[in-house]
Amino acid sequence: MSEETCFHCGLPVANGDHYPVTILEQPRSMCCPGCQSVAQTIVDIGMESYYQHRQQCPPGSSPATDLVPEFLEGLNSWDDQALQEGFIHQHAEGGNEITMLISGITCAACVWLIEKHVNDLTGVVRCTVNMSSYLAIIRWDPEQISLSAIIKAIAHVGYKAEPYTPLEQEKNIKRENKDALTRIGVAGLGAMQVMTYAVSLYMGAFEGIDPAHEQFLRWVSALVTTPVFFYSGMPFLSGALRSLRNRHLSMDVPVALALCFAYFSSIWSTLNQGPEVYFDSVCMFVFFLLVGRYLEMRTRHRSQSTSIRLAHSQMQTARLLNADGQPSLIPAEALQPGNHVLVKAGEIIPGDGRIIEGESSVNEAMLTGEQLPISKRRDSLVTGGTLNVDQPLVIEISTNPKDSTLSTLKRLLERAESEKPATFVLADTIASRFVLAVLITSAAVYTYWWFNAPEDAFWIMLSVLVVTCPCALSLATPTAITAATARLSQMGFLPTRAHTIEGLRQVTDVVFDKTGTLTMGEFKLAEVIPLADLDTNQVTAIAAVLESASEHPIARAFHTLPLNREISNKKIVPNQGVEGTLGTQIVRIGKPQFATDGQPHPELPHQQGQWILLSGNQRPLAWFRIEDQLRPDADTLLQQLQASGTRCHILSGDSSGHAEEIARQLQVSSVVSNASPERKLSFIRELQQSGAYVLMLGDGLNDAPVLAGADVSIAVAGSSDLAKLAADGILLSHSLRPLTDIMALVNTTYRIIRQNLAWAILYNLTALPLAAAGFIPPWASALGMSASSLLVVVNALRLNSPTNLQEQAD
Amino acid sequence: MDIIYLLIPLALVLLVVAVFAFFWAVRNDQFDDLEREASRILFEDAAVKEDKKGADKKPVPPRDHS
Repeated sequence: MSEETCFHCGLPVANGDHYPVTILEQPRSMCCPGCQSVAQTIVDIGMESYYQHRQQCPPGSSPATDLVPEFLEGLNSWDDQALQEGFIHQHAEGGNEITMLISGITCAACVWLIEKHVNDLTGVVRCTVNMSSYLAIIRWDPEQISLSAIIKAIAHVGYKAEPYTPLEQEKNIKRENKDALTRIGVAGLGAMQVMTYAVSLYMGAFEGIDPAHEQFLRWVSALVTTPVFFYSGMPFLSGALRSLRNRHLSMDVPVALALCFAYFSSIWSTLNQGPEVYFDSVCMFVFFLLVGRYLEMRTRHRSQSTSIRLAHSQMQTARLLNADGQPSLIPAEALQPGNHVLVKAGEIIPGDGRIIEGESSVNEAMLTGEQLPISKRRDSLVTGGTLNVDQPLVIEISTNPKDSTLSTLKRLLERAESEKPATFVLADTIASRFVLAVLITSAAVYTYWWFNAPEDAFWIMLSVLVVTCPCALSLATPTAITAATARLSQMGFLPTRAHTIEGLRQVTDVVFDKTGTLTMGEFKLAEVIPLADLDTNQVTAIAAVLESASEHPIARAFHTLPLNREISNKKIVPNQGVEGTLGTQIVRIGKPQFATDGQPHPELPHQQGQWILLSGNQRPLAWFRIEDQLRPDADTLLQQLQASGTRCHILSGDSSGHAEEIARQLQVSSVVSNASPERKLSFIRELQQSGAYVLMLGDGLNDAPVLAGADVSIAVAGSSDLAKLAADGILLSHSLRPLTDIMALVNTTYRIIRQNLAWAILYNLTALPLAAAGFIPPWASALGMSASSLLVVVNALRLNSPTNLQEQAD
Repeated sequence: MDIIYLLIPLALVLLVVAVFAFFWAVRNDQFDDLEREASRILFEDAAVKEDKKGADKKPVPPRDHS
């Protein structure tokens, strides 16, 4: 029973929970009402085959929490004209068009599901989803459907869509990508043509050829090669020039040198009927190098756009109150000190300020990691980015958004980031030395042959330059990393920095944040102790109905339970509990003092955990224990990590003793509780100073500096945007299980990289003496160079096939 | 073999056409999403298009497909 997993999201189904949906003619269990609702919607709209085609479960970005009424309510603001202005443009054929960023897409089936579902809505003209960029372009008729209805429809099948304006950097990425593609196209088509002429010329050399024909073929080759050289080869030429100007030898230098020698000597040969032309080598060389660089560029772009998107956090809105107390929606950045804003229950507070009206509780988990809301009343200070839980508040904004606490944390983060070790500097110096060695060798070879056989000296030097081109060497790592990145994102892990994969390999210590990382960050009902004549089921049913009125994190523990009682006059008392009338009784649930209305209440059953009391007419009816549950598979993960010799540590911001309890459960000896962000950062620094290579897993806003300070860091599903931005990778699933697979894949990746490097070095070492001895003509060296690069690419692509990976991992 | 004086220029013309076709395709975002298109054939997308044409502005009842 405990092995049962949710058919929709793949998380374990808790014992006793049962949310069935009939999919593909079989009853399937779901883990929560959210998944049940999403799955039911998918079945209802006739897209059951989504479950046949999908390659993996959705990352469980908790559609359940996204479907809470406040979230859907908040979407209505998107229908506001003023807000829409920045995002929407009129399409030439009528209707509005918008670009939206969709979170939760994992495979083609997701794309299909969203496209089909949205296209079926009345009033939607066209919806296309791009699977690589996760951007959807939707065109609709505003007369027939509202934007919020479209976003809700996407939410109902389990994805989150937010309006999106592409940033300048992203446009650059797109342009660079198109540029590279056209260059490859020209080089590829040119290479094919020139190869056919080259074959004719080789045949002619062996079997005799009419000199007029030979000359004609040379001219045609020159004609085709010229655009390849000047257009497709331009990145190498300008790159070499730049690197020479900066007095730094890059890979571009020998490449450009070989290209220039080969091209201009061939032109010279053509004009003066010289002995040899190398147009085919020029084209092939340019083409294969461009393909290699394109592969590498795509990985880079992917990680760049991930970080850009995260940085571009979703637009915050604020309800600005005018002199008459009438609210109007404005972007939060436009707020000024002294402005009064209205924050409804369930909304994010738009900026730092002071409460001037109302009383509520505020969830500052974003800031402190503590899930329990803190009571706030008139004149209390609130922080931008925190969540108002129960009652509407009016806040006077005190600081410019620029100087707010959030921005301060961001600055702390930037500082920590700048201290990151620059791993790539080393790789760069090695490459630079290698290039120097290639240049010196070529010059030496040329000098030697100049004295021994001057007529062969030129082409032998050319062969040496081409054959020793560190092509395979430079492709060895990027191709493996590209393939691994693609595989990792299929496994539910998104590396966002270039050095993430490399970093993961060296990890010796793993540090976990407690709340939200090891635990789910949401409360579950753990224990019920009836105190009066009502049994467990009856008291739970009453509690469920009462708590359904509240959105407090503790109350949410009851939200998955069925509602089958009538309770009237439900009233929320901020930070105390909920009250209601059941028949003739006044029932209360919440803090013990509140439930008994100040009367002495019975002793807590035991000290562990969080207890709330249910009472009827001030008479205690039952105790409920609420607990923040461990993430599924947290214990397996820790066991596996510790078994493989990795040290584990737990950091926690709270002081309730829960951290120690969890550490006992997971058998982790190193625990630091009650730690501020500074203390967490210094803990990591101490570890690093003792020689550890630290992997940090975290989720909260307060974890961001620690994530940035660790050698390599991962933000778990449901993290705050800032934490995601600070981390080197993002875990998409709610389970921690992928982490062990990720570690295994990283090791396999490095095995492949080692194989690739060994092959590339072996190839260069064998080919160099042969070429220097004059055994390899330039065309053969171009072929050898290409073949060795191809082998490296094919070897790297093995990482992408799951079966091979299994064998390798064993 | 003098035919090459005709055939090779002809091939060059085709080459130029191919290059321009490729440029057009790149500029029109044909290479934007290489993953999505590879698996498009697996899903019954044709049904969507028919729906759109047949019942363009007509409400589609949710359970229509099953």
